[in-house]
Amino acid sequence: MGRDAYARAILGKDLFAQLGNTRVLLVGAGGIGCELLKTLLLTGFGHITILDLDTIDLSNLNRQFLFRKKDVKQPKALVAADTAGSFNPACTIEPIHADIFEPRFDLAWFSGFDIVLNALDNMAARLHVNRMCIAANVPLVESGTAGYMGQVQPIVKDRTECFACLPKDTPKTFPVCTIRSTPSTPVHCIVWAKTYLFSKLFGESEDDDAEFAEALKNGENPTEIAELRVEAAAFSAIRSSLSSPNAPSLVFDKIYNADINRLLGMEDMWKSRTPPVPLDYTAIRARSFVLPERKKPGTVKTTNASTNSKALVNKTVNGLKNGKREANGSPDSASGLKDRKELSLEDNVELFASSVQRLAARQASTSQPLSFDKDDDDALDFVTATANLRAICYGIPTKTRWEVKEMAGNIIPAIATTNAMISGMIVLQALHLLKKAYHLIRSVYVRKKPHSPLGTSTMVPPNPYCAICKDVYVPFPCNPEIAILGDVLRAVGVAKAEDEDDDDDEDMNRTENEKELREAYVYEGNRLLFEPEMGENAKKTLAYMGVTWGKSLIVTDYEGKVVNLVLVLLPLPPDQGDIKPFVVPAQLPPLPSRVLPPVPSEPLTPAKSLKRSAPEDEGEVDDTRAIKRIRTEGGAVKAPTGKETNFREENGVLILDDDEDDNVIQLD
Amino acid sequence: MAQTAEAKTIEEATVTIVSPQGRPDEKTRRYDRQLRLWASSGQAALESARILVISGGATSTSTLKNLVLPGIGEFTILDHLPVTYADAGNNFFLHVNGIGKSRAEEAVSHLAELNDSVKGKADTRDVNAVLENEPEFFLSFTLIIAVNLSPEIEDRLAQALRSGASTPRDTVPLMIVRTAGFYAMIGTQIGEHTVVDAHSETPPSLRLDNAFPALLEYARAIDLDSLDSTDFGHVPWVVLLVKALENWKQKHDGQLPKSYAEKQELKKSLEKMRRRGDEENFDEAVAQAYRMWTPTVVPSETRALLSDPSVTTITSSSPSIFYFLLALSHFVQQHSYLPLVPTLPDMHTTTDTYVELQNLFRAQADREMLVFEDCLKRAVEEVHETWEERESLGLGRAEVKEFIRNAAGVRVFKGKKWGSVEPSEIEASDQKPVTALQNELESGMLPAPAAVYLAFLCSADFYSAHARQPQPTEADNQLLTTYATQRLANGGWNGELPETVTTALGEIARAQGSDIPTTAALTGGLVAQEAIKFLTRQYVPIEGTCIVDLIRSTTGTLPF
Ligand SMILES: [Zn+2]
Repeated sequence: MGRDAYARAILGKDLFAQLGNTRVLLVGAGGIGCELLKTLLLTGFGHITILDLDTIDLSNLNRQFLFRKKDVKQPKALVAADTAGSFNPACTIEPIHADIFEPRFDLAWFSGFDIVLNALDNMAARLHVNRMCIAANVPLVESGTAGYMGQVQPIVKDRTECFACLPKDTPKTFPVCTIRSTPSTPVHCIVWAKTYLFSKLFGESEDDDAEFAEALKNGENPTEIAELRVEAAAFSAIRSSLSSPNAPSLVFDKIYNADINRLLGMEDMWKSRTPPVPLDYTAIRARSFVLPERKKPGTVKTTNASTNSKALVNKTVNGLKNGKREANGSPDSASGLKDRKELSLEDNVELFASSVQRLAARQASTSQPLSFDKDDDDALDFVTATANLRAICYGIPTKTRWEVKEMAGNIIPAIATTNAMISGMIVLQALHLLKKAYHLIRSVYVRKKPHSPLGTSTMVPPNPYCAICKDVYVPFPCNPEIAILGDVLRAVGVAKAEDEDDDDDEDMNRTENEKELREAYVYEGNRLLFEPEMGENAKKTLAYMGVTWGKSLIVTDYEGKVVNLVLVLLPLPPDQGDIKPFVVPAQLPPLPSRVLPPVPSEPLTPAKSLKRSAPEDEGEVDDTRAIKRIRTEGGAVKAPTGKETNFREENGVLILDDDEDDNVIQLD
Repeated sequence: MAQTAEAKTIEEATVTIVSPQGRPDEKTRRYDRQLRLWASSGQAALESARILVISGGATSTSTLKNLVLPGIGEFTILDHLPVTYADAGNNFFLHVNGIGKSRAEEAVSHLAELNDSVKGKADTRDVNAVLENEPEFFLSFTLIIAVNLSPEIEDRLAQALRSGASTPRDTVPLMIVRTAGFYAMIGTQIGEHTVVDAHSETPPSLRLDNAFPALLEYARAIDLDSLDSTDFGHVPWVVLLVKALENWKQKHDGQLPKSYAEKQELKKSLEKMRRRGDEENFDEAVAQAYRMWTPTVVPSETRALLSDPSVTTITSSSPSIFYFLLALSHFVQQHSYLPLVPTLPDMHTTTDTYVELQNLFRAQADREMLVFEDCLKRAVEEVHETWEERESLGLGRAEVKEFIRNAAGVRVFKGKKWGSVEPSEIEASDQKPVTALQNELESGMLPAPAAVYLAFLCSADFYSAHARQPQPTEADNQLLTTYATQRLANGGWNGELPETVTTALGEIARAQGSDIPTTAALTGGLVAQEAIKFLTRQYVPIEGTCIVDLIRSTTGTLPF
């Protein structure tokens, strides 16, 4: 019996022969990726491109079986290809250690594959690959696992739902002032330590201005923002002295003493909040520091409360919300494992001092900015200590290193078994797709049901309101440096702005033809570049606006009558590169009419209903779905088409009309 | 020069700092992602496990890969066959350069590379010979996985494990795995299996339908009308629900709302307590309103477990979990609920108030724990042990707390035999495979899992008659059809073979007993997952025999 005998017998001669010539793109060489690569090789796929941006970490080894301890810190894609490649020399594996968002992975590149398999761990990349596959009309199998749960979803344009057809949860976000001045939960402190303090001291020095401007626009307190500007500026001085031996005390004094004292000076802020207390580095290390009693704000009210409920009626601390995790005791609390130990104030200070020195030494030796990585022990030590010290200032419960890791790293439990099951299912669906056996493809769920470990559902047609897969995608070869937005728009049948180019001769006598041009909004991602009333961008080049190869122009009909036209930017053919700004496709495909989401019959109650679902709300129809979609999908954001008064539009982002603080800082 | 000196100072400074607090060891870091699923207790159970896998085919090595990676203690592959060309094509842990060598040895050496801390052993004897000459060999393992053996050997192995066990509780768990093309089957034989933590997704009850006295008193003491708007917006939802329900009970003879209309009415009265209409704590309370009318009860599975003879008739040799269960049955006789688990969910309130509430719940949980310990003392004395010995019986305070936390998720599964058991051995819940099939047939439907199972049986019939796998030929298909008809006729079914059966027979013939990569990947994951559940005693195992049908991308279970 030959080596491929089984595969040939079970797959059939034709499919087996087809596999040898099939070009498959595997995005991700992590838990699912390793399993998939193995199963693809064994099944007989002939050409596999495997792409991953990550390097190998020790915590990968409990499931990513193509990696060994000696491979730690090496690029995943390269090691995976190397380890697996020796198994089947007949297969060509092309490993790429890169980010899938890079412009070179453009529409033409995606079109070169027969099938794409996603083995990704983040929403942004999943949505991106989904969009590229829809645009290139290449079948995609999407997948994901979390602990014992997993999911596989085959995606074929116009036949099935795409990954964006159903709204996805948005990342949790917090207002700037909550993070920088008035934290009230452990997670606020961790976000501050990880996204703010870490990058201020060791990361890419970023410009805060944009963030502050955004915060002001969202109605955050201007005095507070002004203070934060001062605080941020002082970091550049600290950064330059990081290599001095007393760096820990310099940093500590700034953030836990000077900054806290400055905040305390803003008395208005503490009228209804318990103010923080400053810490003293020298005193703590000398073990002579006594944590002062936190002053309670406001006046004591008299009620007939029993002693039990004194705190509730006597104290007023604004906006405190306890993090979910502090309520659920860790199952390992009694295990005695070292990083599950509660850290005292002194422990945290020691951990702070040592991690600052370790990180400073690393940065000095490489002179490269560092970025937070949950599996980088120095970085995690730093975030644990600094978050806990901040929590102590504000009277917030502290967290163990183990808990901080889970919260800061958004750690999802992962095991080999679920990944193995999922990879088997992915290849199975891929085989169905390659055979075009669309009646056999299924979405599959691995779940914890003792009666049925796999859940299976037949494919659902695309959501008619989907903002991704109902769009019409057109490859658009161009030179972004010389292509002018207005010219591009006119070439695809969109009118320039009405108030634009008054001195332009051409416009003095519009032709009949031009009057048939339609009006539209133009977006790149979430950025609104152009709208009929505000057309100055029409004179700019695409490159000037940051629209380059690999990106797309989304043309949204002003009246919402037809679906979006998406121009996917590609390089011009080599012979036309410098001469032409762009080449318009000979025949633009027709744009189908847009199906409008049903307009809710009564005004929606505030956004609260979007956030929480009441488990017992029998018989209530979820009329928020269509609206939620507009807000949450990762790709283009659509202009409102109906006359809903519940929306206002801001910078191309639709915001539900409520007074919620909006997304400012993201916890990845 | 100055720079060098400075750099050196840093290095020295770094070295002199005491080793960082709480840095986990390398093992913890390697297993970080799985420890978050089964904790260190589960990991310890894995690390002390000795696993035997019989035969080194693709599904076997796929399964073992998923057990070696998370760090089982030791594994043995028992296989007397050499590596073939076909093996090297479908098995990632067998290579072309190993062709002709021992399959067990080759597979063990490649699998062992995955994890230094796992010991691998190859045993090149024939399973038949071992069953014949050294049946006690099998009793030395923690768990056995038998892949693609003949039904006859499966039966003998199952029998050897049953007769070798001194009590059903000590029976070595056996997993029976068969694969053919896109089909697979996973059966189990277990003596008695206790799940100490089912990891149920249902959060523990706060018992708000009947708040404990201290909570009720706390809620009563809060006069909502006297609070300013900030305080009012920070009254935790637990308190709001207790107050709303108390008002309701006063107007309704102390009864909970029962009908849908009553529940809605109570919810409306909660809404009416708002001041502005957008208070976040009220939003939460409304979302949690069901807790007011959901009566706190002892879960039915727990109740059934408590009346089981293994609990009611414990002996001094019973594992500690049975002492706990007996104590629990005493506890629920006095109370109609399980001891309180002091986990308070997330809520919009002040930190101080949250801590206060948490203390209330902790204090109540401590009171109930002491009552439970009284029950435990009674249980200990009933089996003539002394309460002073509680620590050595595994009934210390820490274990008590752990049990109370998991009490709702404790399960005990009674023995499940594999194979052609004698009629006298069949227990009420333990149906003979063919009988179960017939039941399905007589109900007028033969679901696909049963059809696939029948096809596996017929394939085995074919093999024992012809000493080869069926081929996708007219003649072999005909033979398979004859076996299926016979088996069904023996059970009194004389109709035409259902289409699900003929389809399944066709696939079995097409598969020629092959172990294909997609099926091996999925089955290997599923089998390893179940093995981990048995070893860690965490999470509820699959019930019955599991059928994998990858033509339809699905799994099903049969009730045996
Ligand atoms: Zn879609």
